[in-house]
Amino acid sequence: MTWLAGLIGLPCVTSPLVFAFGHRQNALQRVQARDLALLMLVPIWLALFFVMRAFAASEVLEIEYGAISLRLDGIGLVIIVLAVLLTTLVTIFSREDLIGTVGEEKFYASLLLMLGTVIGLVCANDLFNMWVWFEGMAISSYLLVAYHRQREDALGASTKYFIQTVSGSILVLFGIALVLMHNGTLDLDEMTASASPLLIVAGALFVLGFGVKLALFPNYTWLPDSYCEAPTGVSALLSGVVTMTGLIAMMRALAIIIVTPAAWGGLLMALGMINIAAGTMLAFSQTKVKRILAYSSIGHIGYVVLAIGIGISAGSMMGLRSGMLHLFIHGLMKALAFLALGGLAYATGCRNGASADFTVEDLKGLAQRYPGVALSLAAACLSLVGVPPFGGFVSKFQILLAGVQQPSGWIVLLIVVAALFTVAALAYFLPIVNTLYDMQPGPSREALPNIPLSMRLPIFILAIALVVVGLWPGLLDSIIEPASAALLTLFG
Amino acid sequence: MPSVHMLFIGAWFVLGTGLYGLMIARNVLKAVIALQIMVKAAMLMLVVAGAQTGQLALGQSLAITVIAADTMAVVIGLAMAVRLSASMGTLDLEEIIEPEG
Repeated sequence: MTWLAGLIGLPCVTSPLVFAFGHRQNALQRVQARDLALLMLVPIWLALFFVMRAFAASEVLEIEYGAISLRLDGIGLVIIVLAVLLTTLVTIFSREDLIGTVGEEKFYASLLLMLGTVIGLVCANDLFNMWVWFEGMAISSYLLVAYHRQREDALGASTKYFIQTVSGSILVLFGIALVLMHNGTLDLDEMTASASPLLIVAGALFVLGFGVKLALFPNYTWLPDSYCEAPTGVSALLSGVVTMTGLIAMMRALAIIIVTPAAWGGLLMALGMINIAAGTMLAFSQTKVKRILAYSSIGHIGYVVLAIGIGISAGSMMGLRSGMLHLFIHGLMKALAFLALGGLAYATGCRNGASADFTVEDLKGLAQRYPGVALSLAAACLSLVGVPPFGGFVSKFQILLAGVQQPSGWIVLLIVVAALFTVAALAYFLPIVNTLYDMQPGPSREALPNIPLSMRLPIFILAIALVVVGLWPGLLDSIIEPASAALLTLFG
Repeated sequence: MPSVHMLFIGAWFVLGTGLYGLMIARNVLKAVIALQIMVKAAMLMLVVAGAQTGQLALGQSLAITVIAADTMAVVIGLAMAVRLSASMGTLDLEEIIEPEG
């Protein structure tokens, strides 16, 4: 399975190359880091193509290097496809966004490193191995969040992110040690689930520790600051891929401790519901657009966790399926929202991280000057609420449907509340759309420069993808079905 | 009481010490030190787990890997502290991280 090894290794190997050859003070510098990074993504796409072809034939790919075993299953593939796609689009988008900033080569190198560690993490078949990838992913993301380091707010956000994430990952490590003590092995294949008190404590540590990365309710406070202050492209990646990778890691770690599916399912449903409520309520009072999107991410993580909780507690394939679908589509629509917003902020002159302060008012009337990008932002917002015909409608509707089909009255009640919060999300997304299309005479927009093509291209690709997925959700079946099947076996 | 059991209890105490330190820390450097104490607890627990299950070498090699991974994180934390004190002139967490709605 050399292609899988290539897919994991390529981003990690090319990352230092991008740094070395893109470094300004380097005599070797012949190319710009932004071009080099894009070039390096070509073999990664090639490897992904061959991995997907091999995966379609055999369902599970495994490689072994001595004691280290890596294994790609359906869950991993969803994240990998999303990560490679979004990283490519973000690399294209950030060309203009970050041009002329100090340390561009570090940005692209960290971006590739983050891609590599995400791919490695979802393939890890050993708890400790998974932790090492998790730590690597966290390290590359601190660098990316603190990229606009001349901004005091960015440094503050990054410090907050750093302290919270590191303490979370230490708790996870402690939990892993307890698992090792109980089972004598960390290989996920060899573990047998049991209800020993040691494992219950380890499970609690996993929920707490991974819950930081996943922004589960009490540990979410880093998220709005980081998403707001990070470069726009990074916010898109963090929101779409990195937090969801935390979810996958938590699922894999919890699966070995699972005793009664109903108990864990109930816990996940409760955590998901709290997140939906917290994310939606907190988004109301925000005026900065990036912050609204960040809080809505907290809510959407809640929807995914809720769906998977329903799936696990009732063994419902539909719940798991809708959860994975929402994970994928959320990545697309949240990335679209961040990138479209970033494009508009760039055009109105917000450089060097100033897009963090871009408020809803600043969007006023931009639809006349930039009809395409404004339409994309509006589409992303409506999709995040769950309005047809966009992708967000399909997945949210399926989550609600999966819940309503359960016999338990409690789950149905939860779903009704979740549906109400969906409607409440309109209250903070509609002002964005409204202000965009505001026809009242505002500040003159005619003199503003065009949004560069390298920014419009990823935005339009995502917008078209969102509509296509909304109209033909069946297109995603080939990656969603194996993922939900793998989740079901994980908790079977 | 066998020494491994004492180390097991000791690791929990070290973790608690680190967590307490993290909660009361008002300075970035002190927070990083508290995080380091927590990592040491986890490393100790890995070695204890190895010893308990008769694979001391495994536990030790995991602990050494943790040193490598965790040093990278500390380096970044300290680099951030340097930037913070250069641009804000303070390492006080309450000033750096203003609570916002």
